[in-house]
Amino acid sequence: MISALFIYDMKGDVLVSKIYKDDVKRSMSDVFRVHVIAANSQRGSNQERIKNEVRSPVLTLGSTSFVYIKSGLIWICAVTRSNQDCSIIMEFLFNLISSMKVLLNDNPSTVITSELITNNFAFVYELLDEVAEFGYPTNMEISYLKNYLLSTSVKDKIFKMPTNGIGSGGSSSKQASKKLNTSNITWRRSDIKYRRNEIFVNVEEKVNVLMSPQAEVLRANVDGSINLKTHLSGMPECRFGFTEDNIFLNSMNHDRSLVPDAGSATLEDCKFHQCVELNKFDSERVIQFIPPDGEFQLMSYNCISNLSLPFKVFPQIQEMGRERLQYKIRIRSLFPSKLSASDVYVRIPTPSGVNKTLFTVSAGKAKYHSEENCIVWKISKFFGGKEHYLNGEAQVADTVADIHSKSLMHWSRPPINMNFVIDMFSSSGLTVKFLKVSEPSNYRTIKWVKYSSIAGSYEIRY
Amino acid sequence: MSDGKLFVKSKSSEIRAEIERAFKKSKPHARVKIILKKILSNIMLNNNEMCNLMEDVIDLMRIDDLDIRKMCCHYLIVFARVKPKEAFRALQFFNRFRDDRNPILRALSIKTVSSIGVPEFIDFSFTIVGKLLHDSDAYVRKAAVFSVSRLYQHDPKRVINEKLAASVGDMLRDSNDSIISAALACLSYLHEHGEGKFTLVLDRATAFKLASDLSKVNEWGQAYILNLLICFTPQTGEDALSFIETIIPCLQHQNSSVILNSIKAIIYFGNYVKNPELVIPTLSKRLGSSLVSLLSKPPEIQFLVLRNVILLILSRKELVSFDVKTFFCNYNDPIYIKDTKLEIIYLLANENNVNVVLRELEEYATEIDIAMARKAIRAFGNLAIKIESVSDQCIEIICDLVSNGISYIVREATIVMKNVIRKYPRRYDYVVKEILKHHKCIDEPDAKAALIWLLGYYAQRIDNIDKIFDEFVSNFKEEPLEVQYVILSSATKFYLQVPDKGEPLVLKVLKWATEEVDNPDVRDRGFMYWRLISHVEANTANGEFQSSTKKIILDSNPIISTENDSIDPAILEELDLNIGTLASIYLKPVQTVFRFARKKSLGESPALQSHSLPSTATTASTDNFSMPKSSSTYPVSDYESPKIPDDNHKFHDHNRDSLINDMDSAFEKEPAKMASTKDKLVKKISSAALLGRKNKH
Repeated sequence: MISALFIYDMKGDVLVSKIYKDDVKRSMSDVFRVHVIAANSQRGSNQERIKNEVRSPVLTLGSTSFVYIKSGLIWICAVTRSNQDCSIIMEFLFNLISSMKVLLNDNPSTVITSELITNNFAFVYELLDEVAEFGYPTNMEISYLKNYLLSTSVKDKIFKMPTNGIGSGGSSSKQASKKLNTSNITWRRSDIKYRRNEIFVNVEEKVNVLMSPQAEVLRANVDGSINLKTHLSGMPECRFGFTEDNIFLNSMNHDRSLVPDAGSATLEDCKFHQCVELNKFDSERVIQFIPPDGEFQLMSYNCISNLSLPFKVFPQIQEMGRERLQYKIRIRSLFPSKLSASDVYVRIPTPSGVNKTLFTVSAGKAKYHSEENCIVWKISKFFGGKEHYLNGEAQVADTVADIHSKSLMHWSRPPINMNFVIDMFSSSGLTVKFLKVSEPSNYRTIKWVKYSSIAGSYEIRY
Repeated sequence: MSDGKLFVKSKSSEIRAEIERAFKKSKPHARVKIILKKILSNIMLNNNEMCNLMEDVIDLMRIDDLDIRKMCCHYLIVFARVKPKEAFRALQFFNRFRDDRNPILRALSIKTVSSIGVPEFIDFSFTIVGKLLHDSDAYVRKAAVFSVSRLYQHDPKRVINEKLAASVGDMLRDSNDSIISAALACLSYLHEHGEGKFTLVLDRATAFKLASDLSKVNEWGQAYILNLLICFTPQTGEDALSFIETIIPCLQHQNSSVILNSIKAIIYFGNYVKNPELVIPTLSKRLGSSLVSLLSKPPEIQFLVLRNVILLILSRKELVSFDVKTFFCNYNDPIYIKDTKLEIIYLLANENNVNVVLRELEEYATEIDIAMARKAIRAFGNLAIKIESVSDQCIEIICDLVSNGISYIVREATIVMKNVIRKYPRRYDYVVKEILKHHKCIDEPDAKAALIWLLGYYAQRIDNIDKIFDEFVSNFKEEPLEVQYVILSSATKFYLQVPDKGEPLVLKVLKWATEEVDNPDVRDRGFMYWRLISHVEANTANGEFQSSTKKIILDSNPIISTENDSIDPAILEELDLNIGTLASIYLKPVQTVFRFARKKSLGESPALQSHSLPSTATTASTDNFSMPKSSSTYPVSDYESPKIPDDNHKFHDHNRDSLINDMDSAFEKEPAKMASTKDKLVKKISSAALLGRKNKH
């Protein structure tokens, strides 16, 4: 599968290397540096830069292939020989990055820097040694890794295990047996105990929209995920369900004529965490699982029909002669009026070389950012059922009249872009109906549910 | 504490001194650990001088501390091969570890010795691996299983002779699921690298057992099972169907490799069921939607998924259903995603959805991203050829875009129009006139060749053409080869159709070609044309001007079609068995990309359905897909392992010969070939022959 794995910093220096198989030498790291990192960092004129953009996440030279991703400030590259399963390799790389984020910094949204790696290189090496054997991924479940690597690493300050105290890393067999998870449920230990049993359900939806200038929806979909945080003792079996009218379309005989009522959610497809019993879901539509301890993503889903989009945008951007652009932008919120969207950012592009801007807004603040060539209109709280507008003008610099007249003409008109967060609102209409936790000791579980919709790529053409 | 400060190059002598100092203190363990980390960091930094520390490090293994021993083992794995003599001494420790009470230590011993490619270590591993395979602790068994695959790298014969592969096979029935996964990984490695010595064949009972394990093992184990299931050949349609039904729930997994492997297995078993799409009517929808939902993954995975979508559209249209809209590009998609999506949009376009598609493509064509705009225009041209009912619409859009006079659009449109006109001769003259208005911005060889071809074709129908022709011909000697060929043929055509205006031109060109050009091919071609038009029998007996020559040169071109969309079914059949692998990205016969990959094929069985795929995929098309168009040579041999000195030194770049490009390249070559060589006894090399030759070299 994977013959070797290299982690580089942005300059192309190797931070960690791990050889899994003998068919690749350590010096192979130079090949990747020369062909990809060096080629990528050459910044010339704009034209050249486009050419040097990553053209493919896979490079094959002879029968050696490099599968690579860039994350934060590092490159991770898997080297492999002959025809291997690329999907396993890619999943492995992404899993590796997310486990490093959690294990090194206990924060899934960390940006991985080269310092973070060098400061923990021995730990990272150990991690690479554990997540795959002979290049074949074995077990990358975070809770398992935490448990296993805990005793051998110096990072014990990070891990607060609920139960036993942490030994010094000696080789007593008592500790060893603790580390080796020999149960068939590889993602959970059986001896977890909490005084207060809680489960947090977080339904997060990313709304992706492309709208035409007339505010008609060209394309819209919701990428949703349900994240759980569990603090549960023992081996609890959870059952999870939605309201009746949440329909899993792909399971029905694809009879599109059976249009569900408005207000219900239709899941195109959903993907589950490995702990979910898939055949049970397939036959009985019940999501049943024994969760890993801590945070994990239970499922992700995709919706395209019956969406309630939170915002509509009506843009009017007109060229007034060769030097001026007039902006008239209206935004209407379509969600219930008792809810509010926070951190609403509207990015309205301008051509380059703007020297004068003038804006009035009905709410929030608008500011021109010359380095990004856009006007950022920020509204910190946008209530439902409201309408706000921005009117204004941008003038392109006089001094470079001959160039800019061209630049206005050749302006690529990138779409207007929105960001927002709306709590307790689900664009797809999905609602969690029940969540039962059953465990032999029959304890009481406190359950929390939270919904939020955020903007994925919310774009408006004009 | 932070290890960052240890991440510096050190000298072996310094480290040796540090070890000595550490042992003078009362509690050396913590210090030794830090020193070993320093050594580890130097391994990362490629400091080979560290190999001098072999004796010192082996000494440290006597310390009863797991961390220290682990790091010593890492060190040994890296350097034992450089200093085998010194390393032998470590064997005594491993001999002790293998019976230690601590399972981690037992696992560590087999893992380390089997990783060291020195005969003595390998010998030693063979003596202990058998026992450890049956260890009471699962962790040790797992390590032992993987050691079998390691040993197979070094001595495949002995692994088979000592029946280790068979014992690993037995472990598929182990009570622990992680062992099953490990055994699967090991067997698939042995199978891939079997080279005639080892072939894995699953019997019915094992296959069913594995399928029922799908719900128990973890994600990677599922992927391994699904991958190995294709080693089982079902003998009846019912068996195959029940496998499909067992696998379907896996399409719901979060891990994209599980999904792609499930699809691979489903497609595989689909070969043994009569009309699977009718037996399980939801199948196509489920396969389609589970692929589409992977598009919310990071772009790298999206890319792999999209390439496999192309493969499935080409090979199993009936088994997957997609909505073209889901493949429309996002503004922020990386260029490689946009490329691939465009290809899919083109492939999915049909009479019903073409209006939506055209509107979307028009959006791309006006984008500032030049590469994207050009591809969109290509797509228009190809759609015009593919779907006759919308060709008018496509061409109007192209004409509209050309009228803006943006140089790269005109260039691309020229190339596209040449193909369109071959499909619909004499239909879209107005576009050619529009292009000629902007002929000044045409300067790339491809576009130039296309325009000159158009000039030859339209000699009679457009006035003033001789002036434009003259401009393009004037640089004849400096032009690249392909342009020179086109000029030769077009000038001749021009002369034949408009003799009075064409004569000075053709004479000028032929003179250059035969007297001043160094390339023998151009010269020969020049002579050939010269003879053709000056031959005694050029004018027929009744004095008609050049009628015999006209018959040869002005003959109508063979009409092009979009059958080029398809790849040879045999190649598709193998690619289907490689869904999700690297080969699926390149969409080429697996062996042309990876020479050493094991060939996969459908096993014979009474249930095997023969596919009625059109076996008449045009010959030109097969080599489009199978051969890397641009194969620049890289000095790769240095990086190859010594065992395999010679390799296919090709730079595989899917982008350069992507579908749309490819279709075009086929078109580009044709007209020139047709016009100039078709009837001149130059035999067209059949693509089969071409393919064979390329494969061999």
